[in-house]
This record gives sequence, C-alpha cells and structure tokens, in this order.
Amino acid sequence: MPSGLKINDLYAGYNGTQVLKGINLDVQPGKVTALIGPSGCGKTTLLRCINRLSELTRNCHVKGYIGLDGEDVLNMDPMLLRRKVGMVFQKPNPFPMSIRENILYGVKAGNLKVDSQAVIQSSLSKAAVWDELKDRLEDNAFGLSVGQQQRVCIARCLAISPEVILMDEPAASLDPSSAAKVEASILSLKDEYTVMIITHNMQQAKRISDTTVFMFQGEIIEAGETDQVFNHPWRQETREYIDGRFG
Amino acid sequence: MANHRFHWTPASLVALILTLVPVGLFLAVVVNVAVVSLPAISQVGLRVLFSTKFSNVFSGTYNPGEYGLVPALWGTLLVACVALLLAFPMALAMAVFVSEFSIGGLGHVIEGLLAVFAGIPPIIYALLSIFVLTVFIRPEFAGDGLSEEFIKSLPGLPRWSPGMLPNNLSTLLGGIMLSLLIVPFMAPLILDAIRNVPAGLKEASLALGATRWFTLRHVTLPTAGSGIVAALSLGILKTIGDVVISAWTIGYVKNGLPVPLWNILEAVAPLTSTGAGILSGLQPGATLSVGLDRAVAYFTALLLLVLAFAILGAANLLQWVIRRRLNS
Amino acid sequence: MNMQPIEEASAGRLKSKQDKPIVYSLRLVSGKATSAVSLVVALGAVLSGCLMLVRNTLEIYSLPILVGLCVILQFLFVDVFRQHRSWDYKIAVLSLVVFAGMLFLHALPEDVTGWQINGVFHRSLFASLVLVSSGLPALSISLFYLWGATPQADDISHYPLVLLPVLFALAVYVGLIAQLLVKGIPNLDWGILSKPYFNYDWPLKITVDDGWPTWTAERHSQLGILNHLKGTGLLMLLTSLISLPIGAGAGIFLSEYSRGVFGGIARFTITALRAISTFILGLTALSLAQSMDNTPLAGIFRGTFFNGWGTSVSTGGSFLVASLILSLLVIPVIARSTEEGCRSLPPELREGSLALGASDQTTLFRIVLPWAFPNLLTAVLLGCAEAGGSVAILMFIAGRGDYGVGPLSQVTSLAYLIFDIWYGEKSFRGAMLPYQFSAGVLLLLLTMSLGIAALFLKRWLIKRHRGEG
Repeated sequence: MPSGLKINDLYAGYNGTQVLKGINLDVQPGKVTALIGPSGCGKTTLLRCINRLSELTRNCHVKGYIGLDGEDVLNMDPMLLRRKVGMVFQKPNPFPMSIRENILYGVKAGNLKVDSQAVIQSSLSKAAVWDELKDRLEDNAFGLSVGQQQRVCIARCLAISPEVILMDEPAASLDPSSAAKVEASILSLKDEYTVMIITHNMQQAKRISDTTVFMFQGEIIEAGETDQVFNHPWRQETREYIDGRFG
Repeated sequence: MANHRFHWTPASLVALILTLVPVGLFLAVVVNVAVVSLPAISQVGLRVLFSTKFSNVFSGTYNPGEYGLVPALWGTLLVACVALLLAFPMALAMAVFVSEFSIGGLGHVIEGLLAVFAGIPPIIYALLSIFVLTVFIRPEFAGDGLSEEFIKSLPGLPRWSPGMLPNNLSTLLGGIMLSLLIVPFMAPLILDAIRNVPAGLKEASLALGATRWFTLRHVTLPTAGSGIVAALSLGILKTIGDVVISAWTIGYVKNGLPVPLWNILEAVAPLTSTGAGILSGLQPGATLSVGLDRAVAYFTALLLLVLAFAILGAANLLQWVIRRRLNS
Repeated sequence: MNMQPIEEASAGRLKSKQDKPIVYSLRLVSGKATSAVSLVVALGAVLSGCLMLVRNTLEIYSLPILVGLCVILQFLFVDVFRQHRSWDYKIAVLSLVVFAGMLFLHALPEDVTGWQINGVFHRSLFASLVLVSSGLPALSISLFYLWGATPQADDISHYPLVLLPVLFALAVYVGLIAQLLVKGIPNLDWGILSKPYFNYDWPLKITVDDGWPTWTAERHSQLGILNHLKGTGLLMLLTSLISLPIGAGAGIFLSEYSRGVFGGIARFTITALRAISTFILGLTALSLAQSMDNTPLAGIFRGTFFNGWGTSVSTGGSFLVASLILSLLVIPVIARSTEEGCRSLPPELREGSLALGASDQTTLFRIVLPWAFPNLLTAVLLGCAEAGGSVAILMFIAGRGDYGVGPLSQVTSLAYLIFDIWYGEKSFRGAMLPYQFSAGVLLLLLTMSLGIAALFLKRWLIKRHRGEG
C-alpha cells in the first residue's frame, strides 16, 4: 500500500552549514516524483532525511516535520521507519552473499513471515531481472554486471514491501541498456509504491515521473506536474536550469 | 605499486641495498638456528626429541639423554589456547565498542588507552603476574570466618610482603598474563579491519531496516573476516613466541605431560621457557650450556620457527578462502 | 520475533477483553517495574560474578543471587509478557541452565584429585562463570523490554554485551597498573636513581702506605639503577640509529620500487621478522656474541671492561651486538609504518609532481617522504619503546652494568634488571628486591610516555603536514 509524504518546514545542516532551508513538500501516494536540480542543492540530503540515514553522519541536525501517512517520521523508531521507506543508492552495493540471501536480507532483518520463494520471484520480476537470474540465485552477487547488481538492489528493496521507495540517481552509473531496464522497472512500480527519484537526466525525468520538484541551494523553487514544470515553468530559475544554462 | 616506470635512481639503489640488510639478517638467523641445532638431530635423534620424557641438569630429576620436547609443544598449545580464549572476546568487544557502540567520547578514550597499553613491554606483565597470582589464584584466605573475610576481601590492594614469592606457577597464570599482553595488540587490528568495510554496505543494510547489531553480525563482521583472521594469527604468534612471561609465570621444570592432559593449573613449560631453561637454567649470569644441551636448545628454537611459519601459512590460507567466499 | 511496542501489544489484548483502564495501566507499570527489577538483579549478578573473579571467597553469595535471578526471569517472561511467544522457550532453557549451574556448583567436591588448587578457587570460578553467563543475557532481555521491545530497544539491549567486557578489561588493566605504582613509587627516590650499581667485591682499592702499595677490596654497597637506566637509553639510541635508515629504506622500497621476485621476498621477510619469536633472536644474539671468540674482534662483540689492570673481555655480549639484533625487531615496525605512510599518499599529489616535470627521485624526497614522515616518526618512537622493554634478546648476553655503560661494554638495561632481580643470585636479590617494583615503575613510565608521545605526535604532525583532521 503506497503512502504519501508530507514535509513541513524541514531544515537540515552538517557542521554548521545549512543544507536544507525550509522545505515544504507534499508527495502524492502511488506516483513517481522526480527531484531535479544542480549538484549540491540538497537533493540527496532531503532523501536521507526522509529515511533518517542522515543520522549516520556526525554533527547533522534535522529540524521540522516529515509525515508518513500521518506518522511523525522524525520521532519514530528509525528501523521501523526504514522498513516502510526503502532506498536505492547511486552506486550499487549488493552484499557479498548469494543473490537469494541479498533479496531475503531485509526479510530476515525484520523477522517478517513471508514465503521466501514467492518474494524472491516477485521482487526480481518487478526489478526486471528475474529471467536473467532465475537459474543463478545461489551465485555471489559480486559476480554480476553493474546493471544487474543495481536491479538486484532494487529487488532487495522491494522484498520488504515498503510503502515509499527513495532512489538516488539509480541509473547514473549504468550503461544505457541497463538504465533503460531500470527505468522500465520504475514505471512498473507506479500505483503500488510511492517513488521519489533524484536524477540529473532530464529526459529520464520527463519519461518516468508524474511530478517534478526543482531544488536549488537548499530550497524548493518549483514543484508540480512534470508536463507543466518542463513545458511551462513558472519560475525563471527553473526555465534556465531546464534549458541547460547552468547546473 | 606506486610507480610503473622503473628508473635506477640513486635513491632506489640505496633503498634496495638497505632492504637487503634485513633480508640477509633474517637468512642469517634461520641458518644459524638450523646449523647449531644439527648436532641435536644427528646425535640425539628425532625420535628422542619427540618423546615425552624430559629432564635436564637444571630441573628436578636428571636422567641424561632425556630430551623429549612433546611436553613443551603441548605446553605451548595449552597456554596459547588459554590466552586466546580470554583475549579474543575482549579484543573483539573493544573493537566493536569503539567502532559501533561507542557512548559519547568513550570510544576515543578507549582507542587512546589501547595505543598506550600496547607499548607496555612483556616484562612488566610478568611483574604484574604477582598481583594476579596473590589476588586470584592463591587466596590467602581459605574461606572461614566469613564476615571478617568479607570485609577484608572487598576489592583493594592485597597484602604483599617481600618474602612471599609465588611458588604456584601454572599455565592459567601464564595464559592470563599473555592475554593481557595481546588484547591491546589485537584490538586495534580488528578495529582497522572493521573500519575497512565499505560504508556503502553498512548503509545498505541499515536502509533495509536492519538494526545495528544485525548489520554487525551479518554484514560488517563477515566482510571484515580476513582482517580478523590476520589479527588472530598475529596474536597467536605473539603468544607462542613470548619468553619472559612464560618463564616467569610457568617456569620450567616439568618432566612430562600434565595429568589430566588439559590441566591448566599445572605448570607445563612451553617451548620458549624450555629452550631458555636448557640453555641457562633461567639463571642470569650462569654458565651457558655447551655441546649437546646447546644444540637441543637451538632445536627448540627451530621448532618454534617451524611452528610460526606453519601458523602464518595457515592464516594466509584461511584469509584466501574467506576472500574467495566473499567475492566469487 | 514479533517486535511490537509493548503498549500496542498490551492495548490490543486488553481491548479485546474490554478490561478497565486501571488494569491496563497497572499491567503497563508492572511490566516496566518487573523489567526494572530484573535489570537490577541481572546487573547485580554480573557485578558479583566479576567481583568473585577478583576475590574468590565470595562464592557463597552466588546461591541467593542465582535463586533471585531464576525467580525474576520466570515471573518476568512467563507471566507478564506471554504474548511474546518466541521468547518463552529461550527463557525456559536459560532458567534450566542456571538451575543446573547451581547444582553443579554445590556438587563440586572441595578437592578434585590431581588438581593443585583448593576448592574455593574452583567453586568461585564456576560461580562467577554461571553468574556472568546468565546475568548478561538477562541484562540484555530486561533492557529490551524496558525500552519498549522495539528494534531500537534491540540495539540498546546489546550494549551490555559489549560494554561490560570493555569495562572489565579496563578495570583489570587500571587495577594492576595502580598496584604496581603503589608498590614501586615509594622506593623511587633520587638516591637510587643517581647511583650506579656496583658488584660487592670490586674494585680493588690501591692505597699507598709508607711508600708501599697495598691492596684492599673495598665493599661498595651503594645500590642504584643508574647504569641500567643509562643502558636502556643507550640501547634505544643505538637501535634507532641502526634501524631508522634501514627501516625507512625498506619501507620506501616496498611501497615504491618493489616488484617481481625480490619484492615478494622482501615483503615476506618483513612479515616473517614480525612473526619471529624474541627467543630465537636472543639465541642469535648469543651466537653473534660468541662468533668472534678467539679472534681480535672478540672485544667488540663480547663487551670489554676495565678490571683494574687493563681491559678484559666479558662473558656476555656488547651493546653493539644487542642493538644489531634489536634492530631486527624494530625494522619491520618502521618499514611497515613507512610503507603505509607512502601508500596513503593521494595519487593526485604524485601525478601533480610528475606532471610538473619533477624526476622520480625529487618526487620521492619532496612529496612522498614528507607525507610519510608522521608514520616514520611514530614508528621510531614505538620501536624505541620495544627496544627499551626487551628482555628476551638480552637474556643470554646481558650483565649488571658493573663496569660502566658504553657501546663496547656488556649490555644491560632496566628491563633486564627486573628479570635479574627475580632470578639472579640470592645476595643480589635480597639487596635489590625493594627496588624491583621501582624499576618496573620507571620502565612503565618510560614506555607509556613514549607511547603517548607517539600518539599525540602523530595526530599533530598529520594535522600540520597533511591538513587532515
């Protein structure tokens, strides 16, 4: 069941530098939201605040309200939160175990009672990699190509049935054909999951997202339907970024 | 390797020559030990050397020709087991504490303390064994008169007088002091191994909702496995190679294997003490043994050398196996 | 395990039975209260277990503590938290183990044949083992429930497993060192620090009496450890002088130039030197000292002293020999540290230097070495500490420094003094025993200060030279 996110007045900073300066955002459930903007504008920080991986960095302070279907994210048990909000990283990071163990890792960690075989098959199918790997489930995940590793990471995230999936440039380090497969799997995740995806590739954002959010220097400049943001942006900065004048 | 083109600069030549020195010296050490111990092998014979009967001019009863070193080997094994059983959990706990479960600044303090304790030489631990002995292994109070015993037995400094020398040598005492020696040595190595695990793996595990402990058990420690094996092997090598602590806490006089075999409360001299004892009776300034006795002493050193290389080899093999399992 | 917060779980159960709110809050309070009490009992069990390791006459108190632990565990987990089903069998097994432990404890006879140690030590060791091994899990579980049985509570419940061994080890180290300081410092005064130790029957004193020379043996009874102190210092100095260039050279070779077969041999040798026992090095020192007997060089290797008439050769080894062998111990430390330092150089710096046209050698001296300098310096300090504390290498060649301290005298050191007092001849031991702990304190202070200096120097140098935090 997908959930919506409500972010109110989020401020975050490391070591004295303020990275997020008052973020207000409503993320629609079941839709794909793209986060675009130049490097260093706080997109990754925003994502890491949502699933509270920001707490891993020392001297990181987060202030504000993030609501996940009404629950206050910043005051929840972080581990229960991360079972509802999954993350896929820019650089694929499969565990040095077999593919099967990778997929079932989250299930084991949360002690969820599930049918292992069904979970593996459905996660790998949704990640568009079941046909390639169905006979190689016992192989070590390190031996796969980068594209396959990233899709295994996506499958691993899907195995615990999160409500929200955060993706930090998932296709950035992949070759075009793997990137295309990843995009196809993201499109198939719509309706069942709420997806937030950071991307530098604006064509990709146009292809897969329903909503687009443009960030610049820690603030949200413009947010709205993808069509509208790309074709009729309201703000000057949005237009300039889309036209490639900076960033 | 930092430089892929090779030029013979004066600096590289000097570096090469300087590196030849330790290599040459190492060869000299091995050759020396092997050569001097040859008479032991040729005259005494390997059969006698690997028997269980041992006695020497310096020990209790002396029957000439008894050079069995199996008790010494067994002593080495026993004391290494005791020391590792005590030291490894401690070192692991310290490393895990400093890296994952640190409270406030305590982790940094412990790290600093470990670095300081690592420099304490073994002779000091041997000296400290007196305290451990009189407090832990040989209580002056036998347990009657409990109320005043209870008061006297509250933690504090033991009563110690110059005349009271510990005459209870045991493998347990040696194992305890050796474990105290190797904990500050192994803990930083295990800590380094844990810190070398890529942060991305830890983050991926936490992002899936695993607790820190689950991440530690299933991702961090297995991935740091080869580093932990290296730390263990260096700890073992330090344990079997130590002369001073073994000599002081275990001494060397025994004439056979302990009864029962795993009796750590008896003093079974390991290879190092036995060798030192054969050569000098562990008496400073004494006339050193010559001839066959000397050869046998050098033979124990040869055995130690072989044992050390065997352990190094086994550790490397284990590390290779672990790395293959993680990567293929 | 089904880890829902207690409130949710209790609330769910009660709602279905439509209990009164007072009963609900009573359950909550009693749940937390029982967890808190069990926490205290478990903590008491673990602490008394540790105490029993220190003073092994307290084992009689283990009985009531164990009984209390069992009762608490049963009550806590069977009655109040029945809904957390999967814990039941684990707790039942744990209680069973504790009961069995108690039985075994009191079935142990006072004396077990063949064992030398009395039964008190026996039983207290088992008592402490049983207490600690049942107290630690109980501590974990009570923390888990006290914090609400959430995954975060799971993390917190593992703190005792890690924290207690650390604190115990720390207590042992600090306690032992404190006892050493207490025994050693009172004897440490300027008197013994400033006097060298002389043998009882030396030297011969020549007096001129009515024009005729007479010889009297004057008994010198001044006791002091100055010569040993000087010996330790000389050993450190000589060893550093020898091992610094060689170690640094080897380290640079390993990181910059090593390749092919010789590189592999060099690397293996450096690792092997670390693995080699100091006993073997001691035997090598003995062989080296003996090697030049009956040749003119015997004096250099054996050590010479002035015996009133001229120089004669001692029966041990000189400082030169000892330093040479000690450097075998220290070179791997310096080489490994230098190699690490060189390898940690970011490749951009090296490439930047080469791109500007600097030669390999210039890059080495201007960029690589200054970068590796902190590692080199701290390794030298640590090597000094090892050299100063070494006994095994000196065991067969050292003396008491009766005849002064110099590169060609017989080797002696503070560490060797401690060893000598313990095992030396009776008269020596009797006179010097009060100073044994003082020598230990001195050596401890010396090595610890070298270690602390190395630690802080490394951080400071890295900040200055590399700009990292």
